Amino acid sequence: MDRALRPVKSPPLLHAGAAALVPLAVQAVVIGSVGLGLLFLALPAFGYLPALGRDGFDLAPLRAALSYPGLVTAAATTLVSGLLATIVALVLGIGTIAVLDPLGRGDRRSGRWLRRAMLALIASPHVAVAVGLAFLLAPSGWLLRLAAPLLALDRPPDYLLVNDRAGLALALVLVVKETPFILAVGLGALHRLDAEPQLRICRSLGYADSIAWPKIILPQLYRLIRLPVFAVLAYGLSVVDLSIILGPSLPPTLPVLILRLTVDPDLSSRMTAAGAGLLQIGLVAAAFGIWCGIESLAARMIKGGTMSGRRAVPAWITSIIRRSILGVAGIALMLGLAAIAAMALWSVAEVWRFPDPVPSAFSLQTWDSVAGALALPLWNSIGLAAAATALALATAVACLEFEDRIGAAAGRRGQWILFLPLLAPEMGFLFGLEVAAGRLGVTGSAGAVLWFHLLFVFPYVFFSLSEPWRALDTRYARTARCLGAGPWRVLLRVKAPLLRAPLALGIAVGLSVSLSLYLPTVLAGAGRITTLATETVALYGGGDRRVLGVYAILQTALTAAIFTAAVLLGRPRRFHRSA
Amino acid sequence: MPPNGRLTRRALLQTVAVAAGLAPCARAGLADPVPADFAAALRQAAGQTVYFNAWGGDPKINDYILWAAGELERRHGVVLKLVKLNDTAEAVSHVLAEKTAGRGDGGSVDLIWINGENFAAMKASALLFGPFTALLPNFRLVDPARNPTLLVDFTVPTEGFESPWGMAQFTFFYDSARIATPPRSMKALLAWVQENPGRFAYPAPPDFIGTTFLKQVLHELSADPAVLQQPSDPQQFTVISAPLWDYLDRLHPALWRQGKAFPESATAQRQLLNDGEVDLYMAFNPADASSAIAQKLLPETVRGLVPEAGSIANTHFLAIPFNANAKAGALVAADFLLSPEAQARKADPEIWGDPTVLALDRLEPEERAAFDRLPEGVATPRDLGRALPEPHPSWVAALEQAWIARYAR
Repeated sequence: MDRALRPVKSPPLLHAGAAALVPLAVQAVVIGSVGLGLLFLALPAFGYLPALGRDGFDLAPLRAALSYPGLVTAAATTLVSGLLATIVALVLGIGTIAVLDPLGRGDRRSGRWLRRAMLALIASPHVAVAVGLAFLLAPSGWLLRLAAPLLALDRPPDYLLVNDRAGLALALVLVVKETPFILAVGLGALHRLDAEPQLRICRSLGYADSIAWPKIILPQLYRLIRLPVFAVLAYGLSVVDLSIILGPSLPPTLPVLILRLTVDPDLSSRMTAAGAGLLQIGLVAAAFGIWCGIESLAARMIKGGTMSGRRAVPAWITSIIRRSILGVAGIALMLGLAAIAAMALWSVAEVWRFPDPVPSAFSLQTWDSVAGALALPLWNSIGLAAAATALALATAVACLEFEDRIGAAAGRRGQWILFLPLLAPEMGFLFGLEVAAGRLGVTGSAGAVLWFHLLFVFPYVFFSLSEPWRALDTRYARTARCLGAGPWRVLLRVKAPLLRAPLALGIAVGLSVSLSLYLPTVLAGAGRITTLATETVALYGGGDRRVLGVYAILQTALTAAIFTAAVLLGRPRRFHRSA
Repeated sequence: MPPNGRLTRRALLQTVAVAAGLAPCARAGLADPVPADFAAALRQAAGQTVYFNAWGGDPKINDYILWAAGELERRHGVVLKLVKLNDTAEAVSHVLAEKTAGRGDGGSVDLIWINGENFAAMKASALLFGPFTALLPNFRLVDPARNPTLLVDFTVPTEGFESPWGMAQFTFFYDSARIATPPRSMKALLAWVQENPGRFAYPAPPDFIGTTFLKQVLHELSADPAVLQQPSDPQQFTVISAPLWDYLDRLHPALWRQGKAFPESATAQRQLLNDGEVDLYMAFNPADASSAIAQKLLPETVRGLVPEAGSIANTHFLAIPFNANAKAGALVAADFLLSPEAQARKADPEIWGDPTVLALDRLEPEERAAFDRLPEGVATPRDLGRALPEPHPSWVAALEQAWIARYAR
């Protein structure tokens, strides 16, 4: 009796002590890694690089970076395209949820199709979508090849759409890739909110759903997905590969400019690059500041709307809003899917020239010739992804279990620390971290690659698991404890089966993030550890869309298979009467 | 004397000290003693893994290296692993990072495909192992007297710190279905572009091909190209480069996308021709188009030409970093890649089409026969004309910076 009445959140201290180490250790590793990365970025940025005989401190590299031609334009373009892409992706992602699945149940047919299309886009590698999109939109691209017979074109017109100076094409590919991500994260968070009873109350007060949702559900939803939104913003401001393919070229975006400086044969450019890396961190910080400003502005507007007590908006306005959201989101989705389809077509093309609407000769030769070189990167990718995901999952479960045992507040404190690697610009801290790994003598080892991967895999796994975990009704665990089950038994026999779907999703997300990592793999692996992602980017330089198509389709198929398996495994267990 | 004589001499002294067995009193701890001769290298190399850092964007080059790796393992027990780079400077960065981290041996890069400014930078910063070419038996088959670029890389003496691997000459390729009489000088090119706006592009410097295009124009327009062999000095630079900027100012408005965007690499530029967006492209390998046509990456109507005044030519090399983990293995690999068998295979346009560095008259008759049997590429210029020397590497940096300052801000 006595035991049954004891609240479940004060377990014996022994368990707490052991579990408490895990979140602290995780935070220490993350802070240590990012800190080391920043330190080894800051040293050369302030003039300290003994290998080049520079062992004093000065501001020359920062000054050199600031006066580098085109840097101001580059920073401005980066900021505008990053902010624009994030706003559009957020509006489209959340808007689509509001229109198609406002309760987050996923029970409508449209919702199911939406999820499948989203999955294909999330699963496809960034580089492939970018190359496909560039091929779609270029004057000699697929869209104009399809239209060429009608327009009687025999050579492509000369207009600038891809690589435009304002970075709009870059923003477009970011929207195409990030909207599905926001959608997925938003649906996951909505699941936790339990919107139905709240909307019912609003309805009873005379509010139409179309006005109650933005007033009541949206602010709660946004609070839950705020960190991933910041991650999207940071990604848009730091992305290199997409920017090379679709971004402006004169000058390029700031991260590309930094990359150019780091591969300049003049070794002293490394110091200018470090200086520009610091500026890049400043740029991301500034963008975060601007974003917070936008947030508070939006909050004030929504609050004003809520306080007005308005019960409904005219039907024609909602209808316009609905249609424009669905229309724009539909176009973005179609562009993304068409980009993947184009790459699939290229992988079996032999010759495909303007103005042919489809390849004039097909061949499986590209698949044939690539097959031999494929095995090693494929197994490396799978092995790395499995190891990183297993470690990340075990750590995430340990952290969340600690929350349950010690109390939620202690666990959530410092949670943002876990997201540091996603918020700090890659071009900034990863290069510093590479130097640190070199000092430790681990560069080029599988361990170093695993370490770098975990920095990015863990936050995603943790995020996809944490919300459902916290939403779990504590009464299940309490009942089990009442029946005499120990905390470990509760974890394995009660919580784990109940959390089957999010656990499966966490695994899928972890695997797919690891599969997509390029820069961390190359830097930690000294280029020795090749994965599908590193091969895809290396082959991009060869200018053969057919080969790129093979890698793109493989990587998409692999990730899509993982997600499908996660959905199947995550289905609730059926209990049979007879065994 | 090279401009960075002081540093270079220090590098030489260090290497000599190590080679002469003075290593214990210098910074010791070499896991892999430097082999005294090639026989010693062969003994030490067996079982070693050589990480070969090379640009990895072209599957056909990667396949060739894969073939060489198989042969090296079979014959000498050396495991050659290709580390695919997007830019050679990445490997330079790795070595620099290791030097920063105090890693004097056991480095992650064993062999680099290199030339030009990357070599100059590594040599000047004492990041290279050597001199080693005298150790390679196949180096005797090279005849530097006939081709000075084999020993002078962008005017910087190689001094045995890199071993020649292949030759390159800046070549223009055009679609003969669209251009009947292609321009054969840079002045004629400007006129042609102005008549056919939007049909020509060049990769934005600091891309290798883009920068070489600038050098080619400067060489043709310059009253006294000999000054380009001297280090560029800032005051002269403005005067000497003035005709180039005047040329580009007139060229850019008629370029592809009115010069508002540039292809980001040479391969992107070749893809533009395949897509029908431009009618001309440039490459450093005279067999580039022949080989691309064989792979169906270009229309069969593409043909190559070298400007009447000749074009910039150079040699690409293999170098070994100062802290390479498998120096013996790297030596064996460099020697094999220089062998008549490996060079003949490399020169085959259906495999790669990279011109050989060997002097054919120094080969045995049956070795030479392998070269004679090579197919002539359909789009490879029959006569490469005059080989113009690469300017001093300081011109590269100066031209790139000035270009960026003018057109990329």
